[in-house]
Amino acid sequence: MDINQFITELQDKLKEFELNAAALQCETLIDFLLQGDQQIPVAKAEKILQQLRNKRMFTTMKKVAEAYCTIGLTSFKIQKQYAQSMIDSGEYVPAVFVLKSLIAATDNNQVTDLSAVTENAEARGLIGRIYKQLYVNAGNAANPNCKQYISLAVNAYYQVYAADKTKTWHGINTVACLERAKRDQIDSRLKIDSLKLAKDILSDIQELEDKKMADAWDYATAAEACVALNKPDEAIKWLSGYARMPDCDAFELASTLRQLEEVWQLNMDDPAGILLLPILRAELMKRLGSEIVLDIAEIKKQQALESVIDAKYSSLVETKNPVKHLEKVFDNDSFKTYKWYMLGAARALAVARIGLDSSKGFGTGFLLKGKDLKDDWGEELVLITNAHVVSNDPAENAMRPEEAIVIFEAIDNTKEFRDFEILFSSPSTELDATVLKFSKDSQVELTELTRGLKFYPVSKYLPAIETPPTQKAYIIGHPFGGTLQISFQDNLVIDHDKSSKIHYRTPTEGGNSGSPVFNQQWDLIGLHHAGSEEMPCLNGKPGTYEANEGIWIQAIRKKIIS
Amino acid sequence: MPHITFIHGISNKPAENKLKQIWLDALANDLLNNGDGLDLGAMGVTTSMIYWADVLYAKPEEILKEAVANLESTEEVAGKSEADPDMSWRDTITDEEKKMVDSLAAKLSFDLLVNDDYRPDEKDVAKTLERIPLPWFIKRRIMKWLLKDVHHYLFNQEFSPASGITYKVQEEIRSRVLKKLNEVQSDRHIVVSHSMGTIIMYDCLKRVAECPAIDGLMTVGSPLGIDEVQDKFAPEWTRANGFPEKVKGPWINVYDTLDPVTGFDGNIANDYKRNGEEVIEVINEQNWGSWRHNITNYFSEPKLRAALLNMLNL
Repeated sequence: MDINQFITELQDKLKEFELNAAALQCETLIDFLLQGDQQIPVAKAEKILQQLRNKRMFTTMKKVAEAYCTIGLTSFKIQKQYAQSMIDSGEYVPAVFVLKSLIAATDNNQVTDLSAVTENAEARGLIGRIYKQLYVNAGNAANPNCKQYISLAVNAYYQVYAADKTKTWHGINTVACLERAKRDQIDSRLKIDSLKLAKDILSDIQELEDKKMADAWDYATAAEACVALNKPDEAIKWLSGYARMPDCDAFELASTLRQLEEVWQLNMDDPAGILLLPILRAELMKRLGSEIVLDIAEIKKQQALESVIDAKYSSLVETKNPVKHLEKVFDNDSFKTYKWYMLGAARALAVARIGLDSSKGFGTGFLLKGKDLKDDWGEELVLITNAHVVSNDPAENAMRPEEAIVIFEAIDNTKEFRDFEILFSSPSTELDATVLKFSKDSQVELTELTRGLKFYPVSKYLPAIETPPTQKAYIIGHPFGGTLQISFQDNLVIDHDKSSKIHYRTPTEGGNSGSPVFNQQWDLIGLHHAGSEEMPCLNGKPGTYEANEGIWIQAIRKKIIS
Repeated sequence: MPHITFIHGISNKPAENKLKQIWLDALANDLLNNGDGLDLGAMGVTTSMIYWADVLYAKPEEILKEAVANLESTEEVAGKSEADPDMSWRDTITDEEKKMVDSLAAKLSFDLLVNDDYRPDEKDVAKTLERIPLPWFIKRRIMKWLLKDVHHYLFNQEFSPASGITYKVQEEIRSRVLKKLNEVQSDRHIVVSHSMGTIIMYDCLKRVAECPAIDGLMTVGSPLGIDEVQDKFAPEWTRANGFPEKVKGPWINVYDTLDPVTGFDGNIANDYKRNGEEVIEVINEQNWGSWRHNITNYFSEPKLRAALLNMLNL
């Protein structure tokens, strides 16, 4: 096996989210390692695990790491990566065993081996992370186990920081856990002044920043220290600088967002959350391969506070244009990213859950002005979804229009709409689209409910297909037909044909049937329809690939008019 | 759907894909808050970049690798100590070349900027170059690049950008232009060129028989108004009939009065007439900042964006 070629091919697949193909490729590596008598260089082995981690392919990462361990290919870093794959798969107990064994091995080696020093600290930090996560997951501060988890997390993090004050990531996690314990009225038994610790960390990072030596993690750490010290205006400047770092991708931003939401418990009810969460969500959404799942309540609060947040950001933004170097500055680009994100978030308001009752969704649909599909339909609002979600055709095995209950969760989740009439339907074997007409009373009510809602432009064009693909498409829907959340899913547009179909790929679960598909300007381009690991390629190209498929909205319009 | 072919200008550049992304971002970003960003990809417009920096420079510029704004920042590169180009080629050129280069250098006030420490009296400096608020050593380097790139292309200089690689500059770049243009399969093909790229593009459209026709040309921050450059295009070029027949649609020229690369003569309509008539649409934009030649500045401007959108016929 040519391992360099293997890595290049794997990278290409991961870049375009061909995750099943990447997993299959890794199976060939595992077979090669387990069945043959050859090894691969340690650095290459580590790189493969890192590539898989960057795309959150934890199951495959674990299998590959296990194969390494089976044949004795076990650097300290590989052992840590193996544990990381377990942690990210939620397998905490075996991860602790692996990490403890790594700590024991590196404790004996520290003087002579730099990687041992590094991985020893990393392993201890990961043990802290496991206990922190166990605490968060348990969600019950009164539980004696819970109390123990937070103490163990603090201990693990603090040991590393106390031994080496440059390990500010461990230091700030000590602060985060101590502050969480304080809020939950748990005595962590460690007599550490968490706020002094936060001040020290912030001061050390400011010193690095002054010397232009601070890296992405330093910026994120400083932002967290500012949260601890109740300086959200300062925190947002660090976060803005953090987001501008070239190596700050979706993985890093998602970790920071999770830390602020889960451990610091920031939400749209507190001043720091109002300031920091929208910008982090916005930056995450900008990154390729992101998915944001928001509670309906959070979306509503975010929308309700838009003008307040706007005003606050306007007052903080430094308009020197453009910011060229890493700087702790909330700049115009960050502000624009936020505005772009809010434009997308507003698209969620017109997204509906469709089901047989109000407790569970069967599919998703979305509102359009009738004239966007047919001029004669004018300003009247219509709902569009898949034919395999709502249809009169028994072959579709779908809800009939008179059975469907529609709820716009983000507008008013108490209001149910029923009694639909089908204006147009194309079977799932063709355009898989159904357009529903609301009853007269519903139309009046809906018009009132959506007053002030900005209806999205319907794009006349499909995104350009480049090699490699660069255009993104966003799907907004209810994950798994659920009621309380809406997901914003980022996809890479890989192909489309002139007649009707758009293919895109995502690193996450397929979108919900009937969801709207937007281009990266948030103009509507399609109706999400299906996903498959073996989707036939378009434009006469042979074979299949893994892809999601949407129907071009202009193709639906054309069919309606014809 | 339309296709835009970009061609870049003087000096070293980041790698091809990175450079193209910088240009696309510059068009898409709403830097001036006019709400007129052109996200070409989302609009279905495909794009490609004719990349030729590697013909004259050893390896791609790694500017702003730690930075945020994906800008093509000429002054940033120029400020780096290793950026000073070797000008010893001026000692070995023919009389014809010398005449053209000296004349161009004089027009660009280049020879007044004799070394990094020299600060000329105001009376010695062309008023216009004096108005560029950049350190003199940076202005000097930028003018060096311009002189070198223009000379090496127009005189088809043999040049080795790196050990073991030698190009006949004009031949190599022309062949790249033809290859990229011929790859395009679109019902509407627009070329957007910047700086030295406008010279290359004009040369190919006017003087290379195999060059395919295009549906529209946009020249930005172009030195095509400089007499010494025009003279090199003769006999194919004449002032009365300088418009290339291979441009089937509009030619739009965008310039900033304080862009020194235009030779402070950005209005080129009278130099490239069609049958004696001025047909080039000339747009005068007012960029900002110390270096008005930046493509990212130009691409943010509302009149340029409106004109480009119009050319795309979307």
